[in-house]
Amino acid sequence: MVNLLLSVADDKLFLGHCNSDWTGLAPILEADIAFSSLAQDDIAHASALYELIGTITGATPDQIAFGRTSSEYLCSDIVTTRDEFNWASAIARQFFCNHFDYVRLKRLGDATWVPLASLSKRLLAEQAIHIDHVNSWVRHLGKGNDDSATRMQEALDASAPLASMMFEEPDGLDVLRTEGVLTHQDDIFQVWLQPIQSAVQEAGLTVKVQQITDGTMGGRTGHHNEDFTLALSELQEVFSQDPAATW
Amino acid sequence: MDQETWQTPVEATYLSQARKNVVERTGDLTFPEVDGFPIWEVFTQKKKSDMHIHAGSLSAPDASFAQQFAREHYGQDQECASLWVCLRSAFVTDRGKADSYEVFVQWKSGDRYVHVGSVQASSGTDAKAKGIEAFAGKRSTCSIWTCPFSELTRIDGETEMIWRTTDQQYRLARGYSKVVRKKWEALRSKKMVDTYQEEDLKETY
Repeated sequence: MVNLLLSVADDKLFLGHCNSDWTGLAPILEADIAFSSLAQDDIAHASALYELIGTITGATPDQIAFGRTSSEYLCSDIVTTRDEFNWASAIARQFFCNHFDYVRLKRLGDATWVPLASLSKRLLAEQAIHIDHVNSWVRHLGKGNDDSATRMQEALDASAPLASMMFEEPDGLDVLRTEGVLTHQDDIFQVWLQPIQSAVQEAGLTVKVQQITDGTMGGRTGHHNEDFTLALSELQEVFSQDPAATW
Repeated sequence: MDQETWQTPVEATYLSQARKNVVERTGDLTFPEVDGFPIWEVFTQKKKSDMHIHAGSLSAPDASFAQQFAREHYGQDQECASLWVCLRSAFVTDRGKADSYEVFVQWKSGDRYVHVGSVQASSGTDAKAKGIEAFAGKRSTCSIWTCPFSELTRIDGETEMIWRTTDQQYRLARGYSKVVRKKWEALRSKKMVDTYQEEDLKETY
């Protein structure tokens, strides 16, 4: 259970963290404010999930968020991909991740463990805004002009392999399924792929995401790439110097 | 401002690697496409029992973006029950069509436009006249806006989230009042001690 919760929360923490790098740099003012707002939402979601984890492990949200070693973080590496301040890359990343978070939260809302189910339902409402927002952007960039369409397509293609890795399962997920805590049996990949494809088609673009083969090891089991290590060291900068700091 | 260079930030000892990648930008800060976006006016309703008040305006390429931006930019200042977004051009009074018009009044110069109600009218100009009659009466107004009901995009906070469900205290002044108070009291006490010590020294020397 803790692994599952960590995988959701860590995804959100790092997505929010990396997206807040855009503050002040987004292409238009209103998009900047909106994007920062959504990043704040993601971090708030992560925080709420860490609190829930805290009820199981006894740790504080700060300790959980900042105090682990690299292999203890279970986010998929797509969330820490460097976008090199390319807006299309940022949108592509948002697109894949937000839809995944939506589908995941929706299914967790049906879990038999009540605290998780009720939290998921609450977060799902906010997640719905996130996907509306990112769908608008994908549509807009895809239909904008040749330049924006090319860039958006390239960004989607570049992020597709990492998107596959989101579906790697953290250890213990199987057990939750057989024990009946998680109630969905259908393939999450297909459920996720459908709205992705319709949004992309509407934008006049294409997307191709492969399913990963069993045994592929990535972020969800603690195996991370360099981008993640960089993002983690930035996140832990203050905490690692003084875990008790307040301001 | 014709030429504007954005330089990479000064590197401090602890500044992380990620910030080194910010692109150096040269040239105009404005872009013709963005300048061409239409302007939308946004009205917020604090509680269901309040009237909508003008919150400000924003530029956006289309209605769906205007909605999104209005929610994030104006809906997050305080708890918001409902948002209305409308193209500025819809407020021009000589457009004509029989419709229900929403009337917004600016009572005194510098006040924010407040929604007072609606009237049935055949055009913007007609709506304005009817609006004055129905809502102002003898009271003087500084300015009146009317907008056809059909042109308003209404976002209802109950069905489409505006104010979030997660803890939003950090956005509000009251979210900081206890924390700030504690610090201020600690500081104040320290200051009192300092002053006392200062005076003490004066007396001795």
